Amino acid sequence: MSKIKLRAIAANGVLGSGFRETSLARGLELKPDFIGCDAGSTDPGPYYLGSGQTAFPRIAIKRDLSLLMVATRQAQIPLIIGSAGTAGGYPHVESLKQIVLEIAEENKLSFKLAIIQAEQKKDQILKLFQAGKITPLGRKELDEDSIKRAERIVAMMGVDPFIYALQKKADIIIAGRASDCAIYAALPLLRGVDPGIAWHAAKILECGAAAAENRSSPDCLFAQIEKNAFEVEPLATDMACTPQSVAAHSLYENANPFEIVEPDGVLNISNTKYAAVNSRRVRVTESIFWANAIKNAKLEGAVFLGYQSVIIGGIRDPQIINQIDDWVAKLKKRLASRVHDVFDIAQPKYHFNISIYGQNAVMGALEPEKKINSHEIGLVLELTAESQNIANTIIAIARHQALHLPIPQYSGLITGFACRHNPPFLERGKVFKFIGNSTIETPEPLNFFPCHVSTISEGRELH
Amino acid sequence: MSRFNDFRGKRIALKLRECVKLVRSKNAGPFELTIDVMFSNPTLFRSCVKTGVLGPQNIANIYNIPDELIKVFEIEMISTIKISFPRPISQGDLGDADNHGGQQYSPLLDLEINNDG
Repeated sequence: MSKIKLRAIAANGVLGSGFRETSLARGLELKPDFIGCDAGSTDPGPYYLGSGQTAFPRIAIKRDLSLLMVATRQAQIPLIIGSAGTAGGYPHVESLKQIVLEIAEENKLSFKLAIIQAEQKKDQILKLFQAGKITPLGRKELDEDSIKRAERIVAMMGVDPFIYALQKKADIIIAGRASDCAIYAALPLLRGVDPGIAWHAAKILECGAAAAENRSSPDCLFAQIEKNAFEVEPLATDMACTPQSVAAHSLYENANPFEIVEPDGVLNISNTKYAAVNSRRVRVTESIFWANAIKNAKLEGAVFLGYQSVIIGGIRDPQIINQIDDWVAKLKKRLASRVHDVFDIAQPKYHFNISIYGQNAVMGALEPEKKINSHEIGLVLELTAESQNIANTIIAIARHQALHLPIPQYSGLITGFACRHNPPFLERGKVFKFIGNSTIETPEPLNFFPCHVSTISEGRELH
Repeated sequence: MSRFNDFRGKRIALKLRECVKLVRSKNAGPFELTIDVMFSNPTLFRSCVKTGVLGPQNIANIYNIPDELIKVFEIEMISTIKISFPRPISQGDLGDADNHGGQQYSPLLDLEINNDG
């Protein structure tokens, strides 16, 4: 009997980023047991969690998803998708579900669909926080106030909800915010693969062909998983996995390269062995998984900060560039005084930030270079206030102040700031920030991540 | 002949950018930055480890952050040094100008890697 427990395909690192149809076709010839795809991350930023929007364009998501749905329905294998719609809250899951139904209708596909939610009720989170069931992590600690102010809070699920959906014989699983690895670890664990191997294979799969040495574009990765080992290779024949490229992949977006923290435990790869099977395929052994006694989930929340308006412009006069710090201080002071005069009794709260490209805009406080070495500098003025109207009003005042701000070297009216656009400001709409890092105990994961299974018949949902 | 010797056999210092196949920075979640310095060969990696040029103290001086916040990992198998530390402003918060943390490695490129070994 073969030692092979199962074969997996990762479509790519994120749904909507694309993969080659030839790679998927080649993968299907290898008789996979499932195809997985991650659809989200915090990487695009807090806006998506706060606003309910998806970072990748709908049309690009639909292209990837229809190929995957048609392929998995033909092969009669599960399609597992996690972190729907970038941030994995209710609106994100719903928008991806609508795309699934549209594709099912267009291609006359019928299947069992599992929808797993990850958005958490704020009052419930608050209660658990007060009961000490939520552990703040790191320096930016979670507090009661930010829970109350959060626009949306999601928790990151581990494998249990996926395993539940697979046991319910779901053909397509659309999950809210999930660990990227959980998408790929669920079926291997269900088939009895050693947890160290299952989680490490999942960790390599979760970014698709990113574990290849020469990934020229996002593409598929294939894994053949045994009880105590796994082998990976990219499905594009012009890409290759090497022991170094697979080992290096554990570095990516991870603070600690030896221990990877998951909702279900910690994957330790300090003593993992990587060996080349051939010029494109790598065999991995001896990874260890330390299971948590009580499972936990990382909480992610976004707080609404206000509406923003932005002016982009530049300065070329060396006499102004030489005193740019004083110029900025003077501009902020004059703006405060004008706002005070204009708004009279209803004084608005606002946040005014100026970034100077050519000085330290990119790195801010981390920038070691103190000198400006450029003949021109770029400025981005950001004004955040409680309404778009107030933000627009105050930035319009800032524009006029910046335009004619005097410097001691000149007498008379100067125009010392070059506005890039007309009208000068851009409305940025709502802006958000992430709430503090924390984990929540989830002794009964399904209570936090409810799973609903329904039957889809050619795009229609039957209950 | 070692890459550290010029044609007369005199020792010369290399800049970090000449010693690596890749240097990159990225968010490790919204609150942390992580930098991967992947050396071209094990000799350069070991020299760098030995001289401590990417050690917590030096990194603290370059980025002006307390050294106790800096974690440095040496990954022998892939000749890589990984450096992680908290972001001064969390991803996407007001004033953050590098949403993905992708350009924060740049001050390391001109560090001199001496072969003291």
